Amino acid sequence: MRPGSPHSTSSARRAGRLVLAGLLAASALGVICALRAAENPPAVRPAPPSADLSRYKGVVAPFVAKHCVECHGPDEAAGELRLDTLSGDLVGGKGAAEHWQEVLNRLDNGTMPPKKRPRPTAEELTPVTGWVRAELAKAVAARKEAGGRSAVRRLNRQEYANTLRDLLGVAADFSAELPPDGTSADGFTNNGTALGLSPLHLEVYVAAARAAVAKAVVTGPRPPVHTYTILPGGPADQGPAKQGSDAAIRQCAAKVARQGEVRGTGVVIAPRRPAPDQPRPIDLDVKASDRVELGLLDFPNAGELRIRVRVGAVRADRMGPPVLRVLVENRFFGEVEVTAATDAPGVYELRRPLEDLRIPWQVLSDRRDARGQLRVALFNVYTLPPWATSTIKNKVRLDPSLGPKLVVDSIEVDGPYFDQWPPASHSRILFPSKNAGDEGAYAREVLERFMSRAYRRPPRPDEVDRMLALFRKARPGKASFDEAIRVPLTAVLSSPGFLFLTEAADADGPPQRRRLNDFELATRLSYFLWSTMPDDELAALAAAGKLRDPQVLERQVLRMIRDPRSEAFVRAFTAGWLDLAAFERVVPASREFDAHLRESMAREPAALFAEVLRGDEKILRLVDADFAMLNERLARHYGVEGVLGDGFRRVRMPPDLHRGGGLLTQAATLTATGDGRRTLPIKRGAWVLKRLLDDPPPPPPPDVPELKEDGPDAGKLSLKQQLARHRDDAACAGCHAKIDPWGFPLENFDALGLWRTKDHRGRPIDATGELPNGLSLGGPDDLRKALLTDKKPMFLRAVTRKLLAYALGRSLDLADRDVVEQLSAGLGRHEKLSQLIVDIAKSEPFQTK
Amino acid sequence: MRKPIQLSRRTFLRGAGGVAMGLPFLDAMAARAAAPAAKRPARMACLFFPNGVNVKQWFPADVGRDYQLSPTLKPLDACRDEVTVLTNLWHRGAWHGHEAPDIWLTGAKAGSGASPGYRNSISVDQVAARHFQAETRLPSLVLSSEGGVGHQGYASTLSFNSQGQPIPAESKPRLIFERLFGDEPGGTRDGRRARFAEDASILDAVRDEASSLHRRLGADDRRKLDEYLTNVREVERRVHASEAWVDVPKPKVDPAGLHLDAAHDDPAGPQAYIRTMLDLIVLALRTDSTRVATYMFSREADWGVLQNFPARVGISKLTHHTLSHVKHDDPEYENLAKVDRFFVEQFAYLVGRLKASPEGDGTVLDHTMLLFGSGSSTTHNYKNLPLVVAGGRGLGLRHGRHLRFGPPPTFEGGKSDGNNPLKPGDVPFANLFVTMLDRMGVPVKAFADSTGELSDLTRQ
Repeated sequence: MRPGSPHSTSSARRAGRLVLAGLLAASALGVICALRAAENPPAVRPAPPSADLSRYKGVVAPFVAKHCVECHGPDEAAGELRLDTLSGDLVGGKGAAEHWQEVLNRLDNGTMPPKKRPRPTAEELTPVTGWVRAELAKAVAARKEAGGRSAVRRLNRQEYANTLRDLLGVAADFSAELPPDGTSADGFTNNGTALGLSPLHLEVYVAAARAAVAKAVVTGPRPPVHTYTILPGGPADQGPAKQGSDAAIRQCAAKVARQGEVRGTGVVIAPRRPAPDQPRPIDLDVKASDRVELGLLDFPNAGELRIRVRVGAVRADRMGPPVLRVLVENRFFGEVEVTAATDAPGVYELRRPLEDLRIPWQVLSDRRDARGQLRVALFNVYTLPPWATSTIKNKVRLDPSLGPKLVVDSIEVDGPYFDQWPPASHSRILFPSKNAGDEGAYAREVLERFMSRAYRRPPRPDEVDRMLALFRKARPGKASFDEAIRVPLTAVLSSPGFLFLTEAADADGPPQRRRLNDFELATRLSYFLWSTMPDDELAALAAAGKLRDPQVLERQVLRMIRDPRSEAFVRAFTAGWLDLAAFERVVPASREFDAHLRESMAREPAALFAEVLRGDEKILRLVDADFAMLNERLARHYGVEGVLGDGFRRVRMPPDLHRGGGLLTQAATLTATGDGRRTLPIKRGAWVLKRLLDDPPPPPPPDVPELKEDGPDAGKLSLKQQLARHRDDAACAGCHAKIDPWGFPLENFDALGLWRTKDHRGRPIDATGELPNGLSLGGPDDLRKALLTDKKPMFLRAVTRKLLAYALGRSLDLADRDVVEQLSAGLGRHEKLSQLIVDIAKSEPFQTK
Repeated sequence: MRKPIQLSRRTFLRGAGGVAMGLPFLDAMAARAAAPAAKRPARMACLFFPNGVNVKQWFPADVGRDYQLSPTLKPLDACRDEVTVLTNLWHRGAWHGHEAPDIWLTGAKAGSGASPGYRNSISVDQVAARHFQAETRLPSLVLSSEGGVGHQGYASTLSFNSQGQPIPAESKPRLIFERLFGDEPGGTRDGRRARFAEDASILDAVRDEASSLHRRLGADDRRKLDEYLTNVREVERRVHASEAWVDVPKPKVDPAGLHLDAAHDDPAGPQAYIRTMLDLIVLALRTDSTRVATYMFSREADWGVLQNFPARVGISKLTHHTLSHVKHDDPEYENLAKVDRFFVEQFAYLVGRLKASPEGDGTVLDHTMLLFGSGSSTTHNYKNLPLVVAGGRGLGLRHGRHLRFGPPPTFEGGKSDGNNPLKPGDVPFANLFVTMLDRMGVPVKAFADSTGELSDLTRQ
């Protein structure tokens, strides 16, 4: 063991057990291998269970032919299911077990054969269901024994960006050129099967790795920092004051354009005029009087840009604080709410690498010598409420002068900005060492340490040797050690060890089912809850072999949930579970709808989930919370008074708003299940079934016209009546009787999620639905009640299944059934989301490979 | 504040040794770039729009040379002699109209995207791309307005590799432009060579690591690593191919006149964005940066990013998907025809641009075969696809006709199990692919469920 290696202590401690195990191993990984062998002696493997095909032929096939094939056969294949060709081999037949499980469910609950058909007798039925059950058990056992059920998967875009950021300590997004990730049927983007690769991916990986390493490992002296201090409120006759404070700049100038009023030493920025819903965060149509513009001449075009603005706010009645937004070269740079008063202005700092703005290379290519003009603009993007209006020439307009204002005293721009030189990222990779004089030894040391973080486990000796060989090959062509070491570092970041979450065996050959080691467990945890690599604490616990201790594990999970990095989990999970991407696709036809409202609506579901998770609320509060998580814009949309500012906070919901605070009545999903203009109760019903109850309805069959409300006889029939007619059609009834009743109780919410008593054609709303079991739902309260009582086990199971699928990065299958039942039963007792996550982390599928 | 992006005169002149062109200059300067006819490359581009069409307005009533262009196809009037309308072609492996794009260019019997048994196969463009990959900088240009792969059954790409895996589509005009025509890393010729060598050794190392890892994994995991290895090998091939290109400067293209920041969700409508994507296809084909391109205008059903464009351009308040579902006697059905016509106009623009690009003694269109159409005819119906073929006269295609394969179509739905055996006299859609590949000089005997060539297309 090399001195200075981060894992030397723990490895030394293990070395004792290594000797006990009587095995020879020369590396850290060898130690782990031996350890596992000692802890998990190879079990005596039972012979794999084989399918009972004779009973299938003798008993089951005749039953199917008699009762099922007329509909589920070659002629009709109802519900995309053919039972005549469905394999009777549940152990070996691909997908057969899942289909048989579905058949069993239908036979058990009596929904198949359908009512109109002759019922099978108990004597007919029992041997068939008995056979299915026995074969299913075999299939489950066989799958569990096979091992490797959580497939190797690559990092998705978000994970890739986060991991590079945390690994290198460089605050830049290197994922921008990667194509979007595929999604699974669950809607998640961390599903191994859906995460494919292409040549484009590999090209981008290598290029991004090279760029990232060049940012992290620097060469040469510190680049000169260019600093500008601009006082935009300088006397008008002299033009705004400007100073260049860096001696390295020979020529320095800033142009300031402003038309605002000067107050004291500051310049006033009123809110910009409201713009229609803009897909991009940049509004190019604002008038010059709404902003301060700077043209920084002779400015570097790369590296981190730091902008500090000394600014105070002039508040307006019943409105939140003004919002300072900074654009650089017309691209969003950052924004901040300004709460400091004008008599005590605050200094607000925004920092970002200029590269992240992705300024077109044509703009930059004229400045290959690294300097040029940089345009910076400051806006006040506070969204004015409808009551901030004035009347000009008989036209009522929103009046920016009535809104909160910014008073900008000074603007300081530095770039390229570094906290220190060389940056911390550099010193972390190229740390001081007594080996620094011996390039070969130092390169090995550097690579070992870097790879143990990049691979989230100690690298194998052959892996280090391979990268070291790359260094040796590159060294003669490079001017310095630092330049040459960049080559293997780039390779490390392009390798499967970094790009994939792998849980490989230690030796060649097909792996057996086994418990994860500490490093693998730390990795699963951190990608589950943070979408990034383990932090130092997790890595240290893993290295010390302590993470698998259930108490340690529980403490870590709770710590990770409290850590702000868990926001990555909250967002990715709610987006996939609730299908928030659908909301992004809807373009509401309403004047009320602006980009700020869209963004605020989109944030609400995750905000509620985070509050239930971190506030340790009962899980059912996701359905029946009497509070909502709101910011000013969303509260204004809902008609809630007194919420000022852009941050989300807990707001008790007044009962007269008919809203409550749960997932059922959030504007984002109510909007996403319409077409932006009208509501679509079928889609809402399907959403409740698929998302909240995990009971997805089958896809619509070929050649069924969709209902259209504005058709010729629409005036005569309400949508509900049309749907009732639709349900009368036997071909449609099976599915719609199940879907529609979940959508209608939400009809009092319009296509933007606002309460209404009449639809957009002025007809009174009929918000009733009747579930197939006869339960009548008269509105959102009944819907909530159904989810909290009758359907509570289904809801808990749905949350459990979705969370487990996300945690494992794969779709669940039959073999997960038991663990889902255990976990959701536990959830029924403790009712805590955080505890469910702890339970998942301790569960068998999460802990084994 | 907004300043149009301009490439400096210097940059433009620097490229004068190669092929210098920007859209406004393209046509004027193209004569200089003309190659001898014998060397002219054969090319293919396939363009797809979602959700089917207003069948009453799309399909021409009569067949043969004297057919009348249907109302929807009217925008093709100017290039009538360069196009052929095809009726009654479809894939027998289809099972649902909305899932048809996955197999539009593959013809596979892939099954439902929601089922575990889903399997797709290679798309026709990729067969051609593999054949010509050594001759161009990029094997193919795979584009869609959404980008990426979407999800199984609802792909956001038309192209699938030899394993039947979706190839992620590119969607951002500026990134596409930079990949095609941006500066190459490494700077000087020697710098580029050094960079290629470095890339090759990096890829070598990661491939080695993957092979070692591979041996320690189970069967399912190995498939994932295989995917990595396959793609590393493909990028290695490209790096080696790039070495051959080191002395050939990339074509210099002036981006002035290209709306590289155009967005598909522009409040004014998606036309500027779509035409930028089509311009990029034209530029890529003209400069022989690739021989093969696919472009999916939008995904099916509610997944499509162009879903809401009918409202944006004032056609209808309904979404494209909803319009495609209205009854055929509904007044809104006329508005679906307007949506269809919008896509036809974009296609006509592409045909026009290629036709206005001289090459040799003809035009680029002469050596470019275009396929344009959708994956369903009417609501969820995957039969009798609306299809148009254009260009490729120099490759032997004959145009100016409406070819109908079989009796006049009806529009009742197909069965949903993808079990549609060929009946005697049926002509599979895949026969067209065999003909296109054959005309490009790609030796194939068959493709998917083909029964031969679509010989009517090459006969007068």
